[in-house]
Amino acid sequence: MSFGFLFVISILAGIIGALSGMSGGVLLIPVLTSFGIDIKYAIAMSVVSVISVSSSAALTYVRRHLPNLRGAAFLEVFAVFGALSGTWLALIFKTRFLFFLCGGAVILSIIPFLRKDELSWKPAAQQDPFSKWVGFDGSYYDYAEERTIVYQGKNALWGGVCLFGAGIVSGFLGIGGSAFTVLVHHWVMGFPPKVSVTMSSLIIGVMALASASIFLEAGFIKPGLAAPVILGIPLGAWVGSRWLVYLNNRTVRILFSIVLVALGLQMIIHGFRKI
Amino acid sequence: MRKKPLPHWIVTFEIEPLISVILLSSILMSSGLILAGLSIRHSLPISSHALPYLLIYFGIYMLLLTPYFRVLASTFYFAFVERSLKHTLFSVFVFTLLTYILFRA
Repeated sequence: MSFGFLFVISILAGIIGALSGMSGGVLLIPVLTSFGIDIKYAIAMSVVSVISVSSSAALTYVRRHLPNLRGAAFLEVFAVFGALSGTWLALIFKTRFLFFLCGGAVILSIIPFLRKDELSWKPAAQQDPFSKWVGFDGSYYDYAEERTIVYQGKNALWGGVCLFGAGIVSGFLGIGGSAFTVLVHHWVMGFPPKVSVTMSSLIIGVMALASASIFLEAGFIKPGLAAPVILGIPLGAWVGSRWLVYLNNRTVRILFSIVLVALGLQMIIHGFRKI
Repeated sequence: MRKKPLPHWIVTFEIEPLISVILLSSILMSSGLILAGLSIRHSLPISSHALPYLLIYFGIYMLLLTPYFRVLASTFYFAFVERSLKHTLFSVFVFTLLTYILFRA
């Protein structure tokens, strides 16, 4: 596969990542595998792309004091263990199972597109003592609402267990970690949507680093594949974040849902051919 | 026993700008090293030259180290600015684990 082609694919993956809030791997893995790249190399490239996207996104969020750094420090303990477990599983699993699971994950990733409403949030009425001890409370200034939002996260221990699960998914499949993490932050721990997304950016970076180290050791990160991905993904994310303002939400949802279902099915069919 | 008062610069220190600088500089350095490696590879007559690949590998490592440096900065912040033992321990644990797997690789 030529550098130029992979660079273009990476830009497209970055655009999709920015438009959907997911990592670019959801496009990268099916496209790479359809051109004959081994799925384990594709997952490794997806993991590298996650570090690139999460670092670029976190850069903006952290400046605005959005993530809860104390909460993130606690949750990273669980997330890193999950990512390590998931990556080891990916290395020992047979390729055809990875095709089925990745294909399923790609199809399931349309769920955020099918949501008609934004994540709604109400402040938690009370906070459990453990969540308070861990430091799940905080505040940030919301520029859209022009007021300071005060929040109290809850269920820290359950959130940690779920983050362990998110780490396994992320390390095993190279995709899905960010979407899962955001939902856990929001639904299980009751963080406001912006705090959920921004904490997720920090945590998935650490999860991806844990996975990437194992892939690197196993020789699945090749400079010829990684270079265009590292250069293309942030460029695409930058373009996508600017397009997002002008695009109609419904059009974006329908278009990407069709593309993702097609790519997911193609991966599953590929898995059947390997049996 | 009362805690010793912290110097003014530590009390007013904010971790967020430091993390932003770490993330931005790592991304720029990573992209710069990879671009340099690619341009040297295309300009050199001998394709098997080691320098371009070395630069690209350094670029990849630099990107991988971005979250690592971020965790390191958070560890120092929790230890010396917030002086929170539990958060320092969480960060030290993650940092130690990342150090082990990263440098083993």
